[in-house]
Amino acid sequence: MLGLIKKDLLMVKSNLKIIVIILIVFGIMALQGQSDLSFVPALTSVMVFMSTFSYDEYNKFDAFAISLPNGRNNVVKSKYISSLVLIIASVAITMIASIGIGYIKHSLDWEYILSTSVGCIFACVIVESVIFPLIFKFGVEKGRIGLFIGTFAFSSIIAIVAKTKPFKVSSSFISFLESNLPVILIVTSILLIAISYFISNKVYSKKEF
Amino acid sequence: MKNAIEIKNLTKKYDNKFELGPIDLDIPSGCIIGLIGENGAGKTTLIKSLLSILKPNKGTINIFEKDINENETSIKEDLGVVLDDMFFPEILNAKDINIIMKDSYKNWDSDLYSKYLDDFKLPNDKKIKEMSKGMRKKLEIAVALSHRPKLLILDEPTSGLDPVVRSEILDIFLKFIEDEEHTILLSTHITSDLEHIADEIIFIDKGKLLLQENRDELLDNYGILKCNIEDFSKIDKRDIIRYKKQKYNYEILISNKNKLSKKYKDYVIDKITLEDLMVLMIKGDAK
Repeated sequence: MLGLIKKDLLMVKSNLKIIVIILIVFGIMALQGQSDLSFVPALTSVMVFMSTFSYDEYNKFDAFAISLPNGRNNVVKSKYISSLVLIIASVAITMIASIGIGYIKHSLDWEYILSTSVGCIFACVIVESVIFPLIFKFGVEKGRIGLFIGTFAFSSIIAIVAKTKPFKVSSSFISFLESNLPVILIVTSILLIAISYFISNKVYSKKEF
Repeated sequence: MKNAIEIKNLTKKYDNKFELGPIDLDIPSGCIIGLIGENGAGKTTLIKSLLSILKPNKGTINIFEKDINENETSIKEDLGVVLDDMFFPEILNAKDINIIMKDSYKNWDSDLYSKYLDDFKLPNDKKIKEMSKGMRKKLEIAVALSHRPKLLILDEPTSGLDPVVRSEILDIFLKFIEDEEHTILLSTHITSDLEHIADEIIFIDKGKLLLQENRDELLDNYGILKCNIEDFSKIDKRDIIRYKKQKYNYEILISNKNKLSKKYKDYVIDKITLEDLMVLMIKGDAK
């Protein structure tokens, strides 16, 4: 499985030029502008990682991977692990950059940097947890379409709920959420990944190439 | 002689359109087995079933006398595979592949891999997408050989290559088979390649096994009897396996060539090539 993780990371590395250019552009924008762009590197890493699925599909790598002594479950597991490594690495780089920019601008806010980092990881985990099983089931193109439809449907539901307020949320519950947010996000992330991996594994174990 | 592969009652159906099998097949170890058949005959389906890329509906597959479903990982440690158009993503290079494969096979030998790269004159840093078709195929073969497998499963390893590269690749296979424990299962359209290197021929058509025979016996035993249109009726129907009407004569596929050459002294009986055999078996008319 380690070989497959390395394969994905090497593929990302071969797109390094694009990633570095994006990071430099957004780094300059972050230095000059007022808006918070700390989510960009993590989101870029997710997008770049999606390209590994496209390359795999284009070169029919899955069939070749199954012919190696990995086992199908390790093909799936390696995708989750390498994408998480990438998200965590990109968030870590963002943290370092944010600290640097904070020093330069004399506006270092540790609490803010930590909370946005956890938030970034959580957002990326949601995206990947949804899209990975879709890609394993339907392929890259249909998986992406599925993600767009899913995101649209989910945001619509949230918007409707926010507007109509069909149920009352107690203020004690909200304060509980606020005070335990990092822990809730981390636990939810782990749960999401576990459920997503379980579904992907089930789908992939039956898939033929 | 031990069998490298034993297939019993293998059946694979696709959406009710195509069915492979049921096939029973024993592939002896220590030889090169050529798998022939036209496009869509089921060669790739058979190979993919052997590698669990496809899931057969029925049947059992034993490789090295072990059930593939129960011993998949240990069996695949000893398999080298070249699949038709299925390989690493093309943005990787030969150096990347070494890094990946070191952690994929227990027996991966980086020195041997680099020796193959040198022998095949393959660059380390060139991306796969920048390689010619011949270079890419040689890279696939280098990858398939560098963990010292016992069994090579090759699907169209020489298709689209020029005769010089093909001959180089066939030499590699002949060298591999010098070790008596090694076996090659090779599927190809280029039947002339098999006439040079294969010990045994397996012929599949429309998902069914048509024949499995020793190459020399097959080429000695079968022949093409040629007769003019008027004489066709004089040929004993029992001697005709398949026939094809040409513009001025008939070409008749026969077996027992030596015996029939005495029976049909006035007719020419040509030696057969695997290509002739394939064409007549598939396109020829039944008696």
